[in-house]
Amino acid sequence: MNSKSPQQKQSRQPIRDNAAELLLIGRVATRDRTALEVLYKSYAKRLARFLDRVTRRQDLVDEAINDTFWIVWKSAPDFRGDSQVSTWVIGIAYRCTLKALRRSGLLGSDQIVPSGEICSDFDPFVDNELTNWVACGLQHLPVEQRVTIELAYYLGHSLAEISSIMDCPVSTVKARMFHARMKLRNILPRLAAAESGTHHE
Amino acid sequence: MSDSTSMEAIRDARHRQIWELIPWIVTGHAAEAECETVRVHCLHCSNCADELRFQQALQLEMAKESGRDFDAERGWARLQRDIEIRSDDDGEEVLELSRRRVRPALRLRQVLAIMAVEALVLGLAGATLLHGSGRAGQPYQTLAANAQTPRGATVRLVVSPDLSIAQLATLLRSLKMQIVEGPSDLGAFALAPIDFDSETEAVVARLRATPGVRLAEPIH
Repeated sequence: MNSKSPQQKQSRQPIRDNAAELLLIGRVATRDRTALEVLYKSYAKRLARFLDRVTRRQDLVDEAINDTFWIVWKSAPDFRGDSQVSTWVIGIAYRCTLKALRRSGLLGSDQIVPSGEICSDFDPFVDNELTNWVACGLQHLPVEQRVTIELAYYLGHSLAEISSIMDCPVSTVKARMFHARMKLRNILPRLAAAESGTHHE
Repeated sequence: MSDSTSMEAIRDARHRQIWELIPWIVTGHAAEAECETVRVHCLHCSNCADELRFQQALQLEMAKESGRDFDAERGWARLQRDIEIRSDDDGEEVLELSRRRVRPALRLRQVLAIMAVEALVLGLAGATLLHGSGRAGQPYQTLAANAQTPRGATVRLVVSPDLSIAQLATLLRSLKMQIVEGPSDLGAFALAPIDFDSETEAVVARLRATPGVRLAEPIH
């Protein structure tokens, strides 16, 4: 076997205390702005990075985050705790982002980076370029596939959580993940070798 | 593993099952039994082992905190301001509508909602921005009412009285925008781009994110 053993690892999702967040949501529902501020600041930076990777537009990120927490503010009284608070918040952010992309004419254009732009200028064996190279590859995916893989690999959500966030069946998440992986294999063929530090071709 | 080889491999049900499990193995969401299934399979399947290695490498890179920094303090200030402005029962609808051109076909309820938010904005901006006295009893006016939009104007702007002229000038310079009219009786400026390349939506978004900006909206 050429690869490392698939040891079970700790989920990469940052540890969020759902019980504590539920209390915050309860306070937000009573129009407690301090609670909203705590919630906002605990999510904003990571959420912004996630949305920046998806949209590549600072103005859309600002808009989507603002709209997300406006909806959290407005809808907190209706939140029944059927899902984790983080799943609920990220789901709202996802829908706000789609709305912002649609308004900007970017949704439906299939990809934000023109298909002719290939990520070949990077040398994946130079460590500080590797992350940019991967980011460039991701920009070639359609939005839905990019969101799926970012939710899994950056935000660390499970299959069921992604299905809930994107409001689609698990089978759709699997299909999006599958197509994203196939495309990335073509776009970033040397990634595994670069990570292990050995040329593999 | 070449693309065609991958496709052939995953056509087989067993390989397909392993392929589906790999991302959740990589992220730590798979059950122990699933991890063991993949481990055993990869001992004698180089294609799936390659895929596992590729996904581990990809996840490692994607998990890194890269990308632009977000100014949470500024974002929070903007959200607070928006809550003040939007906190009426129809807030979300008003938000959506205020971002779009008001079309003649709008329902009366929507038009009233827009007028309500404009009234609220004017109320906030009003006391000091507008002429202070002698306005009681005058008919209500929206920002766009009777507006003879100057040629080239793309954005309507109302600022807080706390924003100094120097700050406003710096802000507009950074956006490559210039005042082509205003302040109107209602305190609104009309802005036009210095560069033809300026994107109105982006300018409006930046203005809205700036402390001291009460209202920024595209002029259609």
